[in-house]
Amino acid sequence: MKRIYIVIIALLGCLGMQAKDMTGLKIYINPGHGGYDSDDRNVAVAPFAQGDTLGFWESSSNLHKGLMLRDLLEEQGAEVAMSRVLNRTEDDLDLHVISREANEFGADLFFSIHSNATGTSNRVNFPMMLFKGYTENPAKPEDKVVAKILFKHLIENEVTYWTQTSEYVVGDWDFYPQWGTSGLGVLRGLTVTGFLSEGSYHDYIPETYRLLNMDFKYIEAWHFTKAVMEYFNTDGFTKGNIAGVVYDSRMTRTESYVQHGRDKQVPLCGATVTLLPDNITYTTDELFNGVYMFRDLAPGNYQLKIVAEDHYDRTVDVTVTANTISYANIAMDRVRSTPPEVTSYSPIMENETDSINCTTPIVLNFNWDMDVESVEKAFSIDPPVEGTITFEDSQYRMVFTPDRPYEVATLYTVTLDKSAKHPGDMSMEEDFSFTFLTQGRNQLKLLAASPSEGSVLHYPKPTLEVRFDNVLDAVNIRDLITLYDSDGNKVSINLRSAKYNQLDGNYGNYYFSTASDLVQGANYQLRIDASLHDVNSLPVVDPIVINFTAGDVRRTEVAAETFETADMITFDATQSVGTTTAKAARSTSQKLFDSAAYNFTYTFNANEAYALYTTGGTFAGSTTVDNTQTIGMHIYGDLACDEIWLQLTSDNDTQEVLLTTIDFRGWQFREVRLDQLPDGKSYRVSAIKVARKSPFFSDSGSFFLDNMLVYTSSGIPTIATSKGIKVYPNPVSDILNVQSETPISGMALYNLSGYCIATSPDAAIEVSDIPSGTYLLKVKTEGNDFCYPVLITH
Amino acid sequence: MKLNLTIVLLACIATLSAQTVKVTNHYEITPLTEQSAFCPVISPDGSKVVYTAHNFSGLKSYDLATGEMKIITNADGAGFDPVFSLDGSMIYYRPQSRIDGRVHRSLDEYNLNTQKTRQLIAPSRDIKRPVAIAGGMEVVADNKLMKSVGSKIEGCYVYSVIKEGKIVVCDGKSTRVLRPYGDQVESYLWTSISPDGNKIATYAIGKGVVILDLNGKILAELGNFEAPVWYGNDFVAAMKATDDGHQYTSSKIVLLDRHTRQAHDLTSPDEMGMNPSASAEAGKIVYNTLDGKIFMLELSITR
Repeated sequence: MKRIYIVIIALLGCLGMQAKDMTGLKIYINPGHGGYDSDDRNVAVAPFAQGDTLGFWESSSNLHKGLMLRDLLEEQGAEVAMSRVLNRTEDDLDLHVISREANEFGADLFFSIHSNATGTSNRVNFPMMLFKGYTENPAKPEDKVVAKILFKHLIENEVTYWTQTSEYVVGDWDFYPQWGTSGLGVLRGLTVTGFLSEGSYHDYIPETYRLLNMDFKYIEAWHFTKAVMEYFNTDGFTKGNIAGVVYDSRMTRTESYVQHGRDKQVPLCGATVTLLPDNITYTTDELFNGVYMFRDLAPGNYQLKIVAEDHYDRTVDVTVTANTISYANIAMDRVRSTPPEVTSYSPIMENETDSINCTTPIVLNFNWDMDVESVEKAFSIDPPVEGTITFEDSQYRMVFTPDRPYEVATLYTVTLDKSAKHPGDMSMEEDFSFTFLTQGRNQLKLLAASPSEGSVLHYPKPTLEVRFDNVLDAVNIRDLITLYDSDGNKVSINLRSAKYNQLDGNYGNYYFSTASDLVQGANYQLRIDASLHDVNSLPVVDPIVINFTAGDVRRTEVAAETFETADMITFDATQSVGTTTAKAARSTSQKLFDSAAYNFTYTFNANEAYALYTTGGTFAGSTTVDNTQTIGMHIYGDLACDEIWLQLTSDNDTQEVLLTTIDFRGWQFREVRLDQLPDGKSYRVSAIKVARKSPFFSDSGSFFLDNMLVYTSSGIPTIATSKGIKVYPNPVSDILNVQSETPISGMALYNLSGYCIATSPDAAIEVSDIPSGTYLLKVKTEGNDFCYPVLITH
Repeated sequence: MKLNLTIVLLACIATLSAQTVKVTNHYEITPLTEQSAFCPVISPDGSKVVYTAHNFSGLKSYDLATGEMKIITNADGAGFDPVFSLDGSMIYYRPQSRIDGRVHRSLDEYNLNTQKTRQLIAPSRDIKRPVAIAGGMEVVADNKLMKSVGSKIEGCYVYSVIKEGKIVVCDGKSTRVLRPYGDQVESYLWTSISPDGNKIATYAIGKGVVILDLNGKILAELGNFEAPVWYGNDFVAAMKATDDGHQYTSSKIVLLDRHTRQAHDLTSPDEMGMNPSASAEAGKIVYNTLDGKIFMLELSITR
């Protein structure tokens, strides 16, 4: 009895193992498009011109795949119908006819074969399956089932390079939402199971070249067949295949088209791949794909011997199993028969007096592609410079880019010692060395800015300006010099107001106005990106951030002089020096109060120069001042960095006090204490003087004055700074130092209540015992006193 | 308003032709219960329409007079080429199923009066489209002509064989193969016999709509149109769709005069009319649009 069971089970097992081919199966194949016409897709790649029918056409590629699929299916016993077997316009049937023919054929499966294109500069490569309906609600559920099976098989292709491998099987109603539920015309009228396959992206150029190879298209057809086998549960192939790409292990393509992953390597044309022991040779074509294939191989172990010109031969073992493609992509090493050497380099000094821009990268070109690691070790520069080494042109070129500009006026020696080698393990025969001398500038320097750090900027649509020691490279300048509010939001600017110029002396500037008024009391940041550079490519190196506050600079006390009356002030050429022309005039174009201000213009013709404007008897009425008082003035500056002085006269005594340096643009209120005047004497403002100061941005200048105030000086010194004085460090915790171009006669530190809490006879003051907080440092120099805010922290 | 204007324009255009073909009425008849409906087939007397879904699953009848809708079946594939009996009381359709992955069709008969269904042929790999004959239908299944009313009822049956370039004519006594274009044409589609049983209308790939006699003689080439269906014995309703390789860009319904070879436009191309079904007895043609609306055309033809 037991024996009978065993026999029955064995018989059932044999029945279950019975061969099941595709006999009786009906497959309809629709190679998409057709006719090399306007309804077709042509991708012109060298050596084929646009329109050349020997080049890539989707109609042709689809047809080749379709014909090979037909042959494969018929070999398996299937009955196959195709919408076209030729590539003429008349073979490209109307979509309605195609689907009707498939329906009347009674197809068990309908294949529409296509390839994809982005049609944009973004080039990708992956298969996509489209079926009728929504992705999650297919019109015919079996369509999605078989589409997913096909995707699974297509993505196994390792001869191509996929930019993504995640499943992409979508309903056409989702993919083409603009068509509503009309979807793809060829799927619209199908009663049978079917889908449209976009096998890969034919406008991804490495794939375009592969699609010109018949064996590559065969691989897609072979995977189609595998999908049919799986879906209908028929026998697989009894034989196997070997396929792959032959490419250079290091050389990268020089063409500009988009390349991903392995596609960056140069595919080898004309390489021979010999299958052993069968001794069958495949020669890769001349169409820049490197594809080879051996079809229908009996399962077993094989060897591939690969020979390519200028490359070392390779032999690889491959095992073939039935019903598979064994992929073997083969990287070939070049034969490098001579030692490496530097064939050219830069920077090169043309003559002994030449010098090199401080940002110039060092470039070494070689006769061979080089071993990266050994070159990096062999490279040195003296004096040492931190930088980054990169390789270009398939490692034929090494580039050293300094992290920061070289030191100025410095002789550098670059050396590549002879340990540098190429991948053929041959080193250079001699050390290579050269020198270069750097130029006198290595950085773009900010010379003046309005606003300056910590300043208050008059709020109505202010103009902000920065001035540098060279003309700026205007590329992306609006993105490199930007204004932000305290929340980190970019402040909109009036784009039409944004300008950059070359100033006198080859200085450069950039200015712009805000699109709207700034918020009074709000803090802002003017940011200058580290990559901002001048026309010589010298960058600012480090980012610059200028913090400032928006506010109303107007002082509304009763003015001693309103500058409303004409002809009060006259340029006095006899008391001026180095001045070509100058003028003072009532102006209504730029005013802060009432109807008018006074505009002072001047043109200098010497560096040591000043223009004097004398005031008439009606100026400031009968107002006089003494050393207990302060004069305040509203000034509209042009960032010329010249100085405005007030001349004060009492009988035969004339004194001059510095009102301000014009280190701002727009309206500011500046004041000067008259502490230096002799006791007991009264003075009237007898003249206004503008003195030229470096940097000499321009021979000409212009400023406006409005409402002048006179009031009793407070106990607190007012802020008055000089470009010639540097206070550091600030914030400070121990010793506060001052560096000055003019001798310092003493310093005093005041708190904000006006009390002097520390003094020093020289340029340093001890603050370690002073509580943390904000203080004012008064610096006494010969002729002037200056005052700086100081932050003490512990 | 747009539709009315179209009617007027098309009526004028048709009137200019030698045959006077007038569209006397043109209106939508999509049942209110349906968001979309496709492939309508009109009954011989023009009183009913059967239609299906976008995926050809299910079949429903719609009484144009009463507005009554009946579900005939929900079967997959039932909406592909259903046929009314000559008296309009029966519907013959072919539900589709998969056996071992392979498509099989059966042939079912639905009685609109009793609302009962019976299977006439069990699932098979090869059942052609049934054709109504007096008292029932005939069909070729597995290369055999079968009649639901017995072999004594005469009826000539024609069908085409895809990719073999042939049309088969059988009358129950003999079978003959027609190859009107020899090797020039691989497939004939939408092949049907005229109501008087004397002529064949078909779509020959590469040639368009042609009229043949029962010996395969080409009587008329009517132009590059698709989906021909007989409208009486002298006219054929058809469609003309254009596409860009991916989607349809236009489609119109036409009436073709087999005598004059004239094509009368019945709808404008931008209306995307497709899949016509005709009843000359009722003077009506129904069709669906790409987005699933069903429209009725009422015609007046005078010679």
